[in-house]
Amino acid sequence: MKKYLYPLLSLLLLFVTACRGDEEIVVPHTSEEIGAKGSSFYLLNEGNMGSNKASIDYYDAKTGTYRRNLFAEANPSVVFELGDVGNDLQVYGSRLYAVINVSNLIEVMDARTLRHLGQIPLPNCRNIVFRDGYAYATSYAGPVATDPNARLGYVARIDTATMRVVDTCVVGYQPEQMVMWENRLYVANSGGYRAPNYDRTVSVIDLTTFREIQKIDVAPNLNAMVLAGGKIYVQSRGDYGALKPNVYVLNPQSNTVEGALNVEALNLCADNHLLYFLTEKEVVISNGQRLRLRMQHPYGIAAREGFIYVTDARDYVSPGRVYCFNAAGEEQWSTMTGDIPAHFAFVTANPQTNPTPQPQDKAVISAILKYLPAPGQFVNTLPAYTPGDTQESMNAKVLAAVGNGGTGMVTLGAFGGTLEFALSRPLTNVEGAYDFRLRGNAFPNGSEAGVVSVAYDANGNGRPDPTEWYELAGSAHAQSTPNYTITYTRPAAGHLPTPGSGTEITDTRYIAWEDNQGGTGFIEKNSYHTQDYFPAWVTDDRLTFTARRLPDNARLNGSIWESPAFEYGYVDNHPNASDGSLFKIEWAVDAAGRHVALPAIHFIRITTGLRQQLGRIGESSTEFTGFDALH
Amino acid sequence: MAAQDTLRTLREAVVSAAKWQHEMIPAQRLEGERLRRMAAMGVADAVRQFSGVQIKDYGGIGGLKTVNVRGMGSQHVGVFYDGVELTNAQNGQIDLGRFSLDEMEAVAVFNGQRVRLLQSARDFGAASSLYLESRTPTFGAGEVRHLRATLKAGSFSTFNPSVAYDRRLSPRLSASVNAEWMRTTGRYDFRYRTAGGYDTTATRRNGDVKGLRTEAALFGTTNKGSWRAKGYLYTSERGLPGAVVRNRFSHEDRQWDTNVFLQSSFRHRFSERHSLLLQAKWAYDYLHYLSDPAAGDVSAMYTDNTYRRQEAYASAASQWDVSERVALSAAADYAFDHVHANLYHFAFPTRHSVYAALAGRFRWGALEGQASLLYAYTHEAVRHGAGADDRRRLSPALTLTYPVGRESGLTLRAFYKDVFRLPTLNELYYTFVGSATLKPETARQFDLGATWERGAFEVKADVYYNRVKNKIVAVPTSNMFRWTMLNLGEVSIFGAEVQAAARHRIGQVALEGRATYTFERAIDCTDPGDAFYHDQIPYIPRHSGSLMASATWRRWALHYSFLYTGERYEQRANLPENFAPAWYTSDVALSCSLARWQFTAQVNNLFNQAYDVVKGYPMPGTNFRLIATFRL
Repeated sequence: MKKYLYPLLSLLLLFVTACRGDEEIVVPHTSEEIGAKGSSFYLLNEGNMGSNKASIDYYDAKTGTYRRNLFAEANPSVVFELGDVGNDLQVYGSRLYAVINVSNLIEVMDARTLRHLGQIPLPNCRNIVFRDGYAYATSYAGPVATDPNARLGYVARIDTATMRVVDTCVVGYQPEQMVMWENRLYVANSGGYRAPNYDRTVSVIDLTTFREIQKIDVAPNLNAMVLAGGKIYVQSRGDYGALKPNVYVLNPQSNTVEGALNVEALNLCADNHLLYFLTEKEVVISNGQRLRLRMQHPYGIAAREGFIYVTDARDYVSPGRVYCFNAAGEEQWSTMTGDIPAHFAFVTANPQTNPTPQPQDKAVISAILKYLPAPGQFVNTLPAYTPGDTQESMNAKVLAAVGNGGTGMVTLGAFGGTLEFALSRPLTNVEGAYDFRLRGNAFPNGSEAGVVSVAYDANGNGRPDPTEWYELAGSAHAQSTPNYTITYTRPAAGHLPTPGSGTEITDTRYIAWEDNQGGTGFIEKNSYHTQDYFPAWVTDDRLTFTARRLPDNARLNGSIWESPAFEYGYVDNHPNASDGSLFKIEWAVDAAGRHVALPAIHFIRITTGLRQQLGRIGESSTEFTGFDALH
Repeated sequence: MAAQDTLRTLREAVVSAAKWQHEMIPAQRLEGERLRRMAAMGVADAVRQFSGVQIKDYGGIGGLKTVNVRGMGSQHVGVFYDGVELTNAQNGQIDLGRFSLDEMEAVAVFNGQRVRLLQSARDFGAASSLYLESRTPTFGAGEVRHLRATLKAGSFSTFNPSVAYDRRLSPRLSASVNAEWMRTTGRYDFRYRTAGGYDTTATRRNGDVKGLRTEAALFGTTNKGSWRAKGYLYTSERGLPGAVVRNRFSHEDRQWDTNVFLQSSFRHRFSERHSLLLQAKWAYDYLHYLSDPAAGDVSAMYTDNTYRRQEAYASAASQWDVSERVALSAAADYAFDHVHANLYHFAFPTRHSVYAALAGRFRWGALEGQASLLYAYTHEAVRHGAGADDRRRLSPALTLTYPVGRESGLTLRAFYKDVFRLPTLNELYYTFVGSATLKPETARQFDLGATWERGAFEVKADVYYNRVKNKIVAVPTSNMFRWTMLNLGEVSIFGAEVQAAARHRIGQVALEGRATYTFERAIDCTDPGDAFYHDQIPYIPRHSGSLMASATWRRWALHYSFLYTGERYEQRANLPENFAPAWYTSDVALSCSLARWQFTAQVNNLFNQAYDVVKGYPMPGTNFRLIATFRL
């Protein structure tokens, strides 16, 4: 008997000692060449409820490549991937917004890389539209009513910069899609939770007051909605029984229903003055054309530049398919998607060919937006000016020095000198962690602190708008002077130097300045730096800067000038190896000093923060030697 | 123990003539001390050790647990409690999470059918069956009462006392009452992490359960038979923890249940050759489901539904031993089911079913066989909409066993069985979803097997092929808001099972080991044009297995069980997105008997593996339980 028992026991021992890693593999994307016809788009696959399988595919019309399931791979640190049941997908500016219904959030991504920038919590969220830096999203989860079956929904107004809901407007029952017309928002109310007592109305919201001004009675169970040729087309889903789906025409001028199209549309879209209605068996186009479909369950539809895209949800629990047809209704290509392919978002700019950058692909300085140093002893040498240089060529020299991970040195000159640069990709705000390092040439007791501001491209126009800048509040924020304005005047052509007492200072009245507080003074010239201290490529003779001025930190210790570092939050303040050269995006504050939660940043500005003259050492001038993203 | 064993044998002997006594197809069975030593949390935890059995476990003590045998789906498994089938005509789902093992004497799974003669007609119908046999009180000479009190406590703030009291009322009549209360918060930490990605730990919430089960039974013996009558009441309140998805780790919806049944059986032997079995049951189930956004989850849809289900059942079976070589039996059952719900446009369906079975056992030399033919008829009536047409169906079965020589210890067996399952009343009539035109789901089962026994060593092996047709699947209509039911699926299942068991004694230490392995290729054969044609069906692993080992020494017993479930897919499409990794857990229990006391300490999921049986329903990590039992 032992001969059976011992193998059994040793097998048991094997099981006991064996150990599985509990880690699951991040499912990589798959790609397929399907031919280059049509427009590039992202496609949101809803995923069946409870499966947490919402996913995003991308069709690159330039290369003809179809990529599936990109989000998880691009964002391995987002817990539970894209989420449960995607319900809408839109591009606004440089960002892609996915409304994830059961996960109660709107996922905000970089439209180029699909990288997670942030998320907007919104319970039972449905659809999203945009205007003027605000997003408007419908939600079923209105105020809980006494009659639990009579709970109205609402539209949330979301500031895309802060990703926060700033206002809400209660509408009808279970609101779905929306359309913007002039200064109004039209909202289709479904009442889907109240079957058979469906809602029948479209809510009209005035965008100035953000209040519902009217309800238009249309038909039961309204859902999809588009604006075309000045008319609003709204789909009624019917009651899934005797009452069939239909499409109604609304005149927004008069807020009246003009009639019904009598088409059993499951979905609809508009493009280039044509309307496309998706029915169970065909696509009906408003020019009279009909396109037969051979699909299990036609579900999503989109049209762009003469091509029509239709998805087949098949059995709703297996991967679906997306089909592309030309204007004549001929199939161009079709391919497998994720589960329940549904919502298209076209992109005009091609996302980078590899939308899943490698981990080492961190943000670097990719463009210099502004380089204007105040006068200083390194100006025209860091970087070097050669006759004929323009602002553009100087920017290029700065980029060559510190761009793309470079570690060259650039001076900002005396107080107010400014450098603004763009990052190659948005740098996410990781809560509680340092996000980036700004290098300088500080050494102990040699701080030439510069103030740092960051900008998040909220409206996605690709540049930092004045309202998008937020300062990082360093340790001396409370003691510093905001909006300190200084004007430097170029020495006149026949300027005669006024030498100092020693040999080192050659001109004590070199470049005159005056501030907005009645102060005046000079940038002195020293014998170590004999070149022109005034930016030579600048044609104006007067340079005015307004910036935050830090409290003076320099003191004479015997004959040695010491300028100890501020505790944290400034560039060229602590040695580069020190944590004092690290920054957190969460330090951002607005003009009133209130904390601002930015999801990410696209741009950084640094300005020299000290206005002090240190004898033979010269003026305090911030030097910058590069940027490192920490994640 | 000895007295109990004797009585068991006696009871079986009363039931049928000795010469046809053995089960033609051996069951996988856990009983008596073996079952107690294992200290399983419930029926589901005990039967998941069996080969060919997959438990769908939604996690936690209160979570739903259903059993699936040989890949055919849980609705093909008949669950019998003291010989009477537990049915749920409404959704076909029997939640094993609700059955305690405290009052269970044995748990047995028949992969295929229980090949007996004297049984209800419905026994002939299930593709596979799980038998739960509750304890029958036994009294030694001079004993008139027994008391058992058990207290279980452990992880998830589980507190679970139970008490049973047996009383001998007369030499021919005894009574037993028992009650069990259970409370758990169902809270445990779970962890999900991906390679190079996120690593998140959270606490499972809304998995709390409060439940009370009470039973009272009378047991009688007559000159020529026995009878029993039992009343059962279970009430509970529980949270439904729901699937874990992004940004939504818990839910707020609640459920209240009340289940009542009365069942009775009567066995009588008219003569050496002729015996009778009568069974009857009445059951009432009440379910209240509430999802209220006011409870905290503002995104929830308000739902307040109640379902009431009534069932009446009667069965008569008779066996006639014609000769040494031939025995015949006949059985007829009638069942009534009615469902009431406060849903819009609910159909209020009523189903009448009649089952009739004829079976014959024969012996030809060493070859023994049983053939049976089951006839089923259903008639349905509804208050709203259209009722289904009457259904009539015949399903035959044939089983053969052949011992290869006396000395070899080898027995061969084979069976063929045609089975079906009726569409549930939900599938037929659920508002907007149901489809009254559904046909029964049918399956054909083929099995070849062998048992080899020598001394304390036993090996059983089977290969089988099942073909499921007209599989009832939920499919959406043109609108996703409205799903419907269709006879759409076709599944082919090829499997192999091996079980080995051994016993050994070294001095005072008694060792026991048992291992099982199952291979299953269960593939979707619905549509050859489909991209996922011939993919493995969801949640059925190719490979699975279990190991149990125990050692007893004087008053001490140590039990170890290991469970392995191989790689699976969570959906029809066998894609990486649907892949579920293998999981395996180790459980250990140590018990000690001291006079009237028995103490057990148990550690489950010893190596704290983080795993899901069902996607989005995380299972608990290492957890503990202490059990104290007092017997008088």
